Amino acid sequence: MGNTEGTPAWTNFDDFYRAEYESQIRRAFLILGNGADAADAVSDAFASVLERWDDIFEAGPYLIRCVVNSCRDLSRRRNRPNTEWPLMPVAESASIDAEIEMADLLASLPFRQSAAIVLRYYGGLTESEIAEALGCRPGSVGPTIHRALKKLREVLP
Amino acid sequence: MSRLTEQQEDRLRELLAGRADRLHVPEPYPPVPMRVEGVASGSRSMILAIAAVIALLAFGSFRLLAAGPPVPSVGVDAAAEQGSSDPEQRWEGSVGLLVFTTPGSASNTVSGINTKADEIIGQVDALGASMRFVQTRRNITEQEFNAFWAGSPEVEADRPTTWPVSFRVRPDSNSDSDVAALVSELTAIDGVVRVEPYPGCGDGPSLVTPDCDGSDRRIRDFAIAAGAALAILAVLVRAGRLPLRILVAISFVVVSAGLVFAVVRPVGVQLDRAAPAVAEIRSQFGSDLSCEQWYDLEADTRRGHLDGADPRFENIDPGLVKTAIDDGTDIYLWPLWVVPALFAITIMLAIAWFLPLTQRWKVVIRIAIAVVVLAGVVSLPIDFRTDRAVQCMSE
Repeated sequence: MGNTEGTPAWTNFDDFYRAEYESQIRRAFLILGNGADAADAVSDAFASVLERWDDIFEAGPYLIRCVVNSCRDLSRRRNRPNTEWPLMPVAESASIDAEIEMADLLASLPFRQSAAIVLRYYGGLTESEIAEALGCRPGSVGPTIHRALKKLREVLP
Repeated sequence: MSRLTEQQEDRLRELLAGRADRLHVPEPYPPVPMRVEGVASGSRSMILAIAAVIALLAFGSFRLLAAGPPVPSVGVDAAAEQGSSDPEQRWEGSVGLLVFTTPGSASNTVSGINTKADEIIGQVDALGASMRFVQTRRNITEQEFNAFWAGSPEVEADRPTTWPVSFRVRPDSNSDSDVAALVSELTAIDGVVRVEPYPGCGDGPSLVTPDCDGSDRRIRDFAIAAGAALAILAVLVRAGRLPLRILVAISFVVVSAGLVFAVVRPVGVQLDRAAPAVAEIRSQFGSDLSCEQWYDLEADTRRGHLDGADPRFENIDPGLVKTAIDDGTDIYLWPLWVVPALFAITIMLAIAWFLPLTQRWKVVIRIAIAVVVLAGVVSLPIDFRTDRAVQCMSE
């Protein structure tokens, strides 16, 4: 899933970019629900990382935080253009319906809750890593996820 | 952390991964992005907007806090002259005037002020029927004079070289030209530096600022500045650059500040003015006065039975007690510095929100906020004791 934790310190930004771009854009897509917005958020995040590349101690966690912040900024902006982004064609199935239903539920959650769910269950981050990415106390991550799961449980048999 | 079963957690991971994998990410990836100028200019405009908001709020706070000492009125027994106890009738249509006397002149004494007031009133009377006093003339007492300066050595040392005398007049006709003529004549009096009309006080009844000390204008300035600041913040919220809760929080603080200063500030002035009378009563009583004794004294005074009614109070001047009651207050007084402290908290929160601070700095800011709030909570009972000291002299 393209986790950045546990990776060695990157010395070349281009390598870092190539290694992280796809996983980060998928992560942002889950948070924002829109591929075009996800691409914008990830581009903005990488631009932030590039600006501080020489000063960053751990590029991975910093990138995740930048992505989350960019997603948060984009989610606040109203009236942004709804650009279509292609999804992979798949056959209709019960699993696809559940995915779409879950995505709709995720989109209806407050930003912090949806981001925490994605970071925890897609990114596999720990509570302290999620707290750092969200800029909150580690102790508040658990309740945030708990509240989100109450709503998401509808699509989890 | 959650009450999901292991199977449910696996299902959630599966759904998320499935959804994420459906996104088509074309290769090659786009080139490494660079900051475009638009983003930078957006940040600049954001910084400018926040700076404007802070400047406006700072200006509004300054105007609220820039209250001068209460200006003693030449007369306050207006209702008697008007033949009405209705305050609205008393003040309606009147204009407040502030006359500043010569620096360093004898007007900085009680007798000098009263002499100057006589001179001023002579000029008003010279205008005949076109202008008349709303207030009845009476001399400023030594006690009022001391109350104006609060009697403290620090204030005494800072005593300005001009003495303001305020009074209210009601023009009978053509008010603008009559007031202008009066201002011109008063300015021509020897020893008068300048004369300032107070239209804010003269527009109608002004029970909150009976001394016409300019509170109306300060609160109006604050309202304009705060309104402009909130408008800028509203635009930022609309543009998605600012969370709505920040606007709500700042609005709450701003409105609270306006209300507190519109109501509590005049009360604070009253409280200060009562302090010399309270000290004098304590001196005349000759020993510590308990709350119960004070309540008895107050009740006797209100009934007009003080003279000889209770031998304990025979040495106390009834007029002094009445002054203390009139000037004092039993309204709970909030510490005046709470409002600027709230502004400081708001600004700190704004800094914490907008700047890319590290977690450590955010913790520092939270601690600072906690210290300010704790200091405010601790100061409340201190201020409450001050209030009670004036009210019942229990200290």
